[in-house]
Amino acid sequence: MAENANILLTEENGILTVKMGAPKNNLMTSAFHVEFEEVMDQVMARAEKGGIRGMIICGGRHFSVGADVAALTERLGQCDYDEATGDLPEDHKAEKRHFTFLRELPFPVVAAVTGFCIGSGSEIALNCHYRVVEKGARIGQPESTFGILPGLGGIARTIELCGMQTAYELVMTGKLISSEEACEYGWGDVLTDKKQGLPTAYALIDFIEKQGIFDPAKYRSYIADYTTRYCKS
Amino acid sequence: MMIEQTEFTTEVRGLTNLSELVTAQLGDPCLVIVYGDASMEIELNDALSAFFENAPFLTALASDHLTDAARALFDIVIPSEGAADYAAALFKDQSRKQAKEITSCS
Repeated sequence: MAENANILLTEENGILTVKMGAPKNNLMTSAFHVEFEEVMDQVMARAEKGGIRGMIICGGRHFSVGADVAALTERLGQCDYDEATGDLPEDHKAEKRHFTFLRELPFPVVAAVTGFCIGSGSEIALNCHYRVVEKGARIGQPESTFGILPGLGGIARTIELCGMQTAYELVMTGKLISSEEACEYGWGDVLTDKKQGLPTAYALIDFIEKQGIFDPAKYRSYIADYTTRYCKS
Repeated sequence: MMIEQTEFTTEVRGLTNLSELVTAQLGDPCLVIVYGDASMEIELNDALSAFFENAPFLTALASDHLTDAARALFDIVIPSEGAADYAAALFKDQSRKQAKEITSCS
């Protein structure tokens, strides 16, 4: 598998792993986005060949602290956004597709969330089918506190997972929530002890594989079965 | 019916029937807060369903008394006591433009 400087894509035993190891706790700079999109293009290409059982996206101590706000603000200022028509710039649409396509992959995509998982970083996790959350993680969409919005599918996914009320509160206030709150609200699917995120993600993929062919449209049913069997109430 | 508008919200009190919302002058808020009590009548019909489905704002029910069916109509359900504080916390430090943009995405 091709390797980028900060985002490593590997394949072992039919499972793809995207390990994000960019500087400053996966601060999502313009360079990060370029690498991320290159890796996601490789994932798309590999997925088309078949034989993949699942995919895990993980960080290091922190999943991602989100966007480099200064760089993002500068980039947004240069965007060709037509306020009259509401048409989004093509480069933004392409950027968003590199996140939202994860939901359509024909195998389970699991985010193993550790530490800070914030803003655009949270949107990477949200666009996965499942989120295994290690205790001590802090999650949130603080974009509104910077005068911007989650623009990579985060709002729609948070509504889908957590319901309108919780999603509205999270996005409007920009507050960070704990790992326990995230799982209580439905943002997180499985709460684990520290350093158990990756093993749990692998176990989840193995469990789903045993249920038969994965249907991404029914992803919620698989996690319901898993948590019923393996997670304490 | 009493309607009070703030920068971000429209508060509605004294409804005898929830359907009064359909023709009420609610302005252009981000959030409409309906204070309901057990005496408020709720007749679920197409007009009322369409109102909630097509509203360009979010709707909140501030009540401790209503049925699950009524609660299901609203985007947000909060206890009647503290509803004003809830709205203040929600929109704290927000500009109206920002709050409207977030609301339009929801």
